[in-house]
Amino acid sequence: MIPMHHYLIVSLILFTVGVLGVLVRRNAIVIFMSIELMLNAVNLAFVAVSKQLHQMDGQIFVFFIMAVAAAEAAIGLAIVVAFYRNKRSVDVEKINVMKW
Amino acid sequence: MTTVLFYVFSILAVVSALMVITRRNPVNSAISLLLTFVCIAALYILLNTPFLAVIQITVYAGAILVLILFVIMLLNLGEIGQGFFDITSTGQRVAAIVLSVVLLIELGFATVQGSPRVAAALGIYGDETIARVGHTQSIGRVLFTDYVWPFEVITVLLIVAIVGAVLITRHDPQEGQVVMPDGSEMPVEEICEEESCEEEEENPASEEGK
Repeated sequence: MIPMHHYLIVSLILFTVGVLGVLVRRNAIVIFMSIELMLNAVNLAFVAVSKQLHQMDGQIFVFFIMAVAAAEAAIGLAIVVAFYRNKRSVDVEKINVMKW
Repeated sequence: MTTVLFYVFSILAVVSALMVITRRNPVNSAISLLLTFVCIAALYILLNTPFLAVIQITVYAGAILVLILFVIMLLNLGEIGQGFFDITSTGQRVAAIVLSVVLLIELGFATVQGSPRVAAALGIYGDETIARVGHTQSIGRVLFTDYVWPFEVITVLLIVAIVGAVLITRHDPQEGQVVMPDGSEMPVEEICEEESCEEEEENPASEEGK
């Protein structure tokens, strides 16, 4: 049996990679994929702790996070498509109309 | 055996996650993301939660990733910028590195300090119970008793997401007209900022040629 904190360490590395991806990339689609990566890392941590405590609640939350991720994917990609229609690009540095 | 599999899938997940954020071509990123999802599903199997592994594959690899790939191919997206660190501002690069390192140290500290303390009262869903009842049935029992109200709220959320996605991407019926949320039509000039519309008006022919 692998100790729980090994799963948590994998999870935190994946989460940090996702954060780095959001911070350093300009392509809106890649930023979107990084967000999915962070959601997956959180799911992994939830399942690991839930198994450690012999409780189901963490796994139910994973279920809900997956539903929210699906909704977020639909809305986020719709925004990307609408943005592409205006600017002919998905470069986030071109989203600057409301920039101070 | 389990330990070896754990390390293989963990390292594969981290490496493919790094490939997601370092590939210039978004299609390569998407395929790397698929590998990450499959590795995380394998980790769920190792954690003895097979139902979550299956919905991880169906929802993430089957639905979300296909949606992402579909949008990449629909918009015919190419590469943006020069490789990995493609943001232009130097300050933002430094801030990104510093914040990521600080976050990694902080989360690592929290994990090392906190994980020995995860020893609350154990629930009833130990490995024996799950082996006897079955994982899917265990999840279903909790989901439709204790969590039935959040479950109903999630259904409303999904409906709202579908309607919102259709509304956001609704196509203009006339050239130069934008459909407002209440159904009326407005000329583009009144809605957009001048700056953003100039590019489209200057060379509409060349853009349609793409």
